[in-house]
Amino acid sequence: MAQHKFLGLIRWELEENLSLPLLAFLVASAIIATMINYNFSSPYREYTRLFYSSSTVFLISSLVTGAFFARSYAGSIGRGTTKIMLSYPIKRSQLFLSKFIALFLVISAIYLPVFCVHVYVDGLVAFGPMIILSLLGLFLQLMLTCSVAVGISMVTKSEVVSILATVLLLFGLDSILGMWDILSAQGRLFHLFQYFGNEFYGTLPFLSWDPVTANETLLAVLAPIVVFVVLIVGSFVYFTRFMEVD
Amino acid sequence: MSNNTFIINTDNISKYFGKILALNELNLHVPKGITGFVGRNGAGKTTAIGILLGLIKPTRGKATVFGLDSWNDSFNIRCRLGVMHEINAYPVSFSGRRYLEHVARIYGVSQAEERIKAQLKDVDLWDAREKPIKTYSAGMIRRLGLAQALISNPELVILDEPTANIDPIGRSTFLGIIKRMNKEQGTDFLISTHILSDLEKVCTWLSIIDEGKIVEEGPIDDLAAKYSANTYKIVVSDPQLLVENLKTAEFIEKVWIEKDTIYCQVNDADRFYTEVPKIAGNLKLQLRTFQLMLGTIDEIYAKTAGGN
Repeated sequence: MAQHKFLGLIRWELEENLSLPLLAFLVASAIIATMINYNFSSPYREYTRLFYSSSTVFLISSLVTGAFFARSYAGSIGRGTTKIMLSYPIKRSQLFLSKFIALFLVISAIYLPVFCVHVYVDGLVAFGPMIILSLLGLFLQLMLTCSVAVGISMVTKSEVVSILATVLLLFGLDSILGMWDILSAQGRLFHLFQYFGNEFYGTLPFLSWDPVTANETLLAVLAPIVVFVVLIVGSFVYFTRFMEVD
Repeated sequence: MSNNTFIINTDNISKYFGKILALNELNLHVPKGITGFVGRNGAGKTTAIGILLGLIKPTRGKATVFGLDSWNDSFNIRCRLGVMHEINAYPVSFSGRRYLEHVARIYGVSQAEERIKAQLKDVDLWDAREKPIKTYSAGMIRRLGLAQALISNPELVILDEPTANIDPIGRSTFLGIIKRMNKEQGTDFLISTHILSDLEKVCTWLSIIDEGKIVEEGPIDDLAAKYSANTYKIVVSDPQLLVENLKTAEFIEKVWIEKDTIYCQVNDADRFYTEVPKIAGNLKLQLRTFQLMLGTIDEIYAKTAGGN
């Protein structure tokens, strides 16, 4: 019964998020992401192109993901939907998780095909090591983005403030830190490409740039995971134990 | 009445939002039946309802619904009640029917299709069942709110400002459904409103809240008698003659005639009861009606909370 109810809640959230005009907005952002391509003439041009076009997909997807998660959590608290939902026999934990799962499914369902289109356009080998690294980078970026958006939503409980704060924080972080920092989306991808490019091919995709160490690469992967765990667990505990809905 | 006979009990509940005191040692008691929960805007009605539903944690004190703690046992309480909030934040992309399907699934309603159909017909939304909620008028959304609150056939229904934005015919339908549910299925209702005329038609118990405190509560008939202002109504064969004789009586403060009916405001009810029949007898007048005027909810409210 509890499982049936939980699946029903996920379905509820999916239906709400897949309704127009939200779906149209998602698809439009995905189309924009696929349209941006780069042309390089280096010996590793296809991987250079993959790197830069992945970064574009990362940027657009993280902005959209942040906005969607903030809308779903802070927006539903602000509009009063959470108050109505929590007046039904729904456990707070079920509501929190159903939102999370539904949104993650929607975002993944939109941006995974976008990524596949990139692979096809760039003429790369499907499931090659660099493609899998790009996918890992995308997944880590989505984890970071949604956890930041949910955390900010719990604090502000305002849809507009949460969307703005999430987008500005993530965009600002990437702009300030740039490619060399493990906390930026580009920096994370760069570390992955540079380290594993050397491991798999015995040479660096970005020839002119310095090599990175295994520890630096591990940190680049672990940093978003740690941020995700801290923010999501903190938000979950706050939502289920302490949050007042007035 | 002992505390065990009430389905809702709050024990000296206080609630602060920052430095603002929203509820000040609130002692609310709700028995079975239809209870009116009355107070001006900002008196604390919605906060009190939030506490009963486990949405808000009281700063001090304890609230119980069906004998269960409202914060710690909130899930078990919510399984047994239906709620219609003042806010109308239903998912606008859903149709009315689809929304009720989701709600019915959450409550685990058996034979949901029939139940949804009956509810939509009851609140007169059957024809609009497939339209998205965003196309509904304010009144239609309130009626959808009532349908979702009743979909699980709950033991208790809490309605926060249920008849706001509803036209007179819609209000009458609304109140009719409440009365019928109470009579036929024994559903209890807590109705929070400031439209007092609605309550007079359905309520058996009244709780009045002002500045976060219950200032008066009890059975409506008892409160009506208590706040009658000691005004009596007399119908006799010759009202003018009786009024002339009552004007000089010590126990009468004021006497007047409206449409052949005498109204007396008295300061000594016992003497009034014994003396008036004697005076009428001496004047050989036929005493047709001789009764205390009960206070209306408006009068009760004005004397308890409205005066502040």
